[in-house]
Amino acid sequence: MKRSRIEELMPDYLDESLSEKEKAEFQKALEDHPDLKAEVEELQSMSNELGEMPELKPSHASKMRFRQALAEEKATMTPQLTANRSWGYQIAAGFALLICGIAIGLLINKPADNSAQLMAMQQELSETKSLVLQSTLTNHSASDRIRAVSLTGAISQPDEELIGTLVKTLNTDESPNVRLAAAEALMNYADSEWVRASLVKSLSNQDDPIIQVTLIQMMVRLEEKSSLKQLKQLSTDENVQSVVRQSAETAIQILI
Amino acid sequence: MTEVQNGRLDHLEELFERYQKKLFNFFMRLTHDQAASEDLIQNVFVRIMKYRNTYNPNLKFKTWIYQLSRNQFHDYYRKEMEKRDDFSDVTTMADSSLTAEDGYDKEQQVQLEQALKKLPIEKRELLVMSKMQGMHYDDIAEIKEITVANVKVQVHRALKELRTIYFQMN
Repeated sequence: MKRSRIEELMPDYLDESLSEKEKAEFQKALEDHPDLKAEVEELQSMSNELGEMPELKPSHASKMRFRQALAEEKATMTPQLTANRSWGYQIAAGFALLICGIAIGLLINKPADNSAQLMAMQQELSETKSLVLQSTLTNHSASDRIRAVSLTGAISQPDEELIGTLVKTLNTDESPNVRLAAAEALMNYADSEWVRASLVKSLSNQDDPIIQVTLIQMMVRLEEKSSLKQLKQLSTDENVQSVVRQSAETAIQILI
Repeated sequence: MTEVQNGRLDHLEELFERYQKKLFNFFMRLTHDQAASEDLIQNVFVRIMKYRNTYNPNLKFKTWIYQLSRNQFHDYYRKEMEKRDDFSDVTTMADSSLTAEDGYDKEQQVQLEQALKKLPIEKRELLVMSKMQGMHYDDIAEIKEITVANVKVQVHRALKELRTIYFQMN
């Protein structure tokens, strides 16, 4: 057996995937090449040693953190069961108080023009939320940022500042989880042309496959033909994962 | 996982129990940093939890969780590299070494771990999956989206390079 053949068979020999006959021939041929024999033995021993490395143990805190995150996720699925849990609910409670306050004010003052008061109230609410959101996005952890972004979904008439903050979050937040939450929050306001344009533009800014696929699916749901250029780019980009390219291709087929 | 997708989040705890140690060892061998490894596990499970609806049931759960884990690790690695000025140090990320306290009973194991740290990250990842975690080549091929033959060649090359580094060190 030639030296090159021995080298070729070496991986299979080490993985024990040679037939008995091939294995015997390989071992026999090794006798003529002491250097290769030594190499095989060393690789074999190294391979075994790697398999016997001690298993490292995560701390108990790791499991606790997971359980807490799981409990929080469950809480978002059944919010009525979990009052007084996080600052998110405290903010919600704050808003409820604000609404009560303004409503009482309206009743006491018996204003001549109710609609003007109501509009002012709505604007005030939106501005307050914008402020809370902006402060949270700069000062808090990723999970707090996700909660803050998700809370914006309750606002029916967001102001430009709030939308702008969400768009900025979608494109620049360091955590992909927060970016995704921002994309989902923006989807609530997809009636706005500006929001749709921002989502389309963001397709080219994202590098995380889950966000890319989510945005692609949004384009299909919104029937957003203006995204075709970005989708075509993604469908041919060798640097993105195949699942993203496939999603983009499917979206193109649907939108064309 | 299908149960989890249907909103039965309690099943996620079983998945956590099943994969926590495996992923911890995967991340530890790549980062040598306990806190970072635990953060990475947390990130992986938060993503599974939040984006359970993007899971494709035709894909093995193991493949999906390792793909997510690799993505998380590569993000982390890129950020770590950006923080560093000295690019000559790219193969060793955290300075905290694994020691006898972690259960290493042989000097050779400690040295091998040191040699592994000097291996380029892609090769280290392959050896961790194939040799240390005992994953089959077809699973690795699916995770990395390459052919089984390719995995085999790459694992062999990585092992040979590890051997060279190991003997240079000794």
